[in-house]
Amino acid sequence: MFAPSGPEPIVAIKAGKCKVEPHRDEAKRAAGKLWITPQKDRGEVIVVKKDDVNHFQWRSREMPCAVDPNIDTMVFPGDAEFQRTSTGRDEDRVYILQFKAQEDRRFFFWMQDADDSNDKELVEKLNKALNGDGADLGASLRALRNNPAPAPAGQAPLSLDNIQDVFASLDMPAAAPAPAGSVDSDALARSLAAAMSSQQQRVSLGDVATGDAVDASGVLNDQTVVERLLQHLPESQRNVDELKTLIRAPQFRQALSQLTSALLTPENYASILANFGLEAAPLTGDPVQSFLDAITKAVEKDGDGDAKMDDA
Amino acid sequence: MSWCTIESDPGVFTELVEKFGASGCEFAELYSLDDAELAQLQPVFGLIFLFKWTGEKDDRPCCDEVPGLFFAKQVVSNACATQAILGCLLNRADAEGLTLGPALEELKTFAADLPFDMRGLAIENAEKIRTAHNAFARPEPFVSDDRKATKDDDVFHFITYVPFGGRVYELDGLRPGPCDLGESGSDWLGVARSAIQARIEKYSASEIKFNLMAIIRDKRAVLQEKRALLEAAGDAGSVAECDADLAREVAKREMWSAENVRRHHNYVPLVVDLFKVLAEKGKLAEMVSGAREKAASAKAK
Repeated sequence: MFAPSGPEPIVAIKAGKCKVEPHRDEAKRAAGKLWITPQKDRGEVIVVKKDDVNHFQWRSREMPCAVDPNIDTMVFPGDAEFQRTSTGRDEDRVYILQFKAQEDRRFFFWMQDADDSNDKELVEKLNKALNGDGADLGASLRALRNNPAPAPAGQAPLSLDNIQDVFASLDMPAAAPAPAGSVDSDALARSLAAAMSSQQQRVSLGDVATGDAVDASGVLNDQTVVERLLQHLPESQRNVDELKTLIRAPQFRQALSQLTSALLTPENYASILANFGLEAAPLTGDPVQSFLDAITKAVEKDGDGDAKMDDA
Repeated sequence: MSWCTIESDPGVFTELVEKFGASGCEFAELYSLDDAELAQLQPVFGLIFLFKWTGEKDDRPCCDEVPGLFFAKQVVSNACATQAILGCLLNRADAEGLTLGPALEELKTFAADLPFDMRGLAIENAEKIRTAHNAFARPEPFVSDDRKATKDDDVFHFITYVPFGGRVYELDGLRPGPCDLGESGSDWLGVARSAIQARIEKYSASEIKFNLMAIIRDKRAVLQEKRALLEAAGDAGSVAECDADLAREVAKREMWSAENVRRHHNYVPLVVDLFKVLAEKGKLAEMVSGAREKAASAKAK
């Protein structure tokens, strides 16, 4: 009866969604242009964290507040940015979530809060939630996208009644033309990003060290291991039963997710490795994997002797 | 003076009031408002309804000063749990088995003649209460400035329901004064229930998270009294039953205190060493690939 419904959003911005179709003008359609129609539903874009992974969603602000299954996507740091898009008029508050690796993967929104004074702060907060502090994808993304030509100035401000016209003049290309025959830095960045996103499934530390997986590994049946790990428990709780309970306890699971989130923040990554005496492995598109690689490396370096002794 | 946010959990709240110096009560989470569930918890000193505050307007009339009733306007945002708990305890000093202790008695006397907003400040400045509250700060091993609460963060709000002077009051620190829900009669919970039911219906419909806690008499004390009566009556079977119940309550308290010890501890060093052990034993690689397969198949669904 009192069960909460899903995790609370980290960020919520009042925004409406838009319908995206091929352009109604034949010539423009042939050129891959789109026809964007704003939807009147009151809604919000939200970022929620599930198992350490950010999910970008749009949900209605009216009953029953359901999440739109078509706008519900996992976003890893560096994957995408939420940014304002120019309609050629300063009053228009049209934003897109643009994926870096896939030019044609994006979602359109229009801001619904009558007061625009918080837009900048909210959008920054949303991008920070998606990408952490360090990532500045803005520049490369802006370079990647073909900005539409500015519309004539001095038109009426955006409102529900005339927004459709404004959007029609937005003329977003469905796919950017590939830079033929030249390898510029943007194209390189794009291919790197694409390679990164097609990599293996990323996981959190909590996904790896589930209670079942730790049990199955059998390490907690090893007396030497148990004694070593007990040193990290509160003094009053240093016993094996507590350790076995703890791996499933919320406080331990929370530490796993705190460490995962911290690793995903570029400015924390190096200091965490240094703190735990791990050799700084280069930060890749999958910081959790880099961290685990650094652990494996440190363990190998510490000498095979110990491991052999334990195995005996 | 800053107040940390604390977890809404019966074990946390119970230890919190013990740190205030009060004794003879405990918290229980309610999963329904059924008579049967409430009967299990009697005597109920007060109820606390907790929900994500959405800033909605509440136009019901409020009372001005009600003689002897403790109501404080909320002036510190993170202190709302403590404030709601005080709203119950300070108004139930008469309750069977409840002892407020010197810190709460002092606050009650000091705040009695103050206006509602100054009482909020009095709570904020009560050092023993603030220290006890802040002892429940969660360990934040990677704390950085942007983790601090901002105006965009979710704000949880607590409302207290308590019987006082023959009437039932709703105490909401964000409203101008206490709200009189009517005569308590012989069943104050029945009066509170209809007000709470209305909130539950409202928040369930809009998927707003909420939670209901009861402040009740220490169950161990209730059971010990019951046991003494049964023993006097020579009912050996019921005494044994009562002993079993008592053992369960003692175990619950032990579990709460173990959980509270965990809440104060930083487990990140354990996490790192556990991964080292897994790597040493050659288990890490297979666990990682296992997790990836699981995540990939979950994504494919």
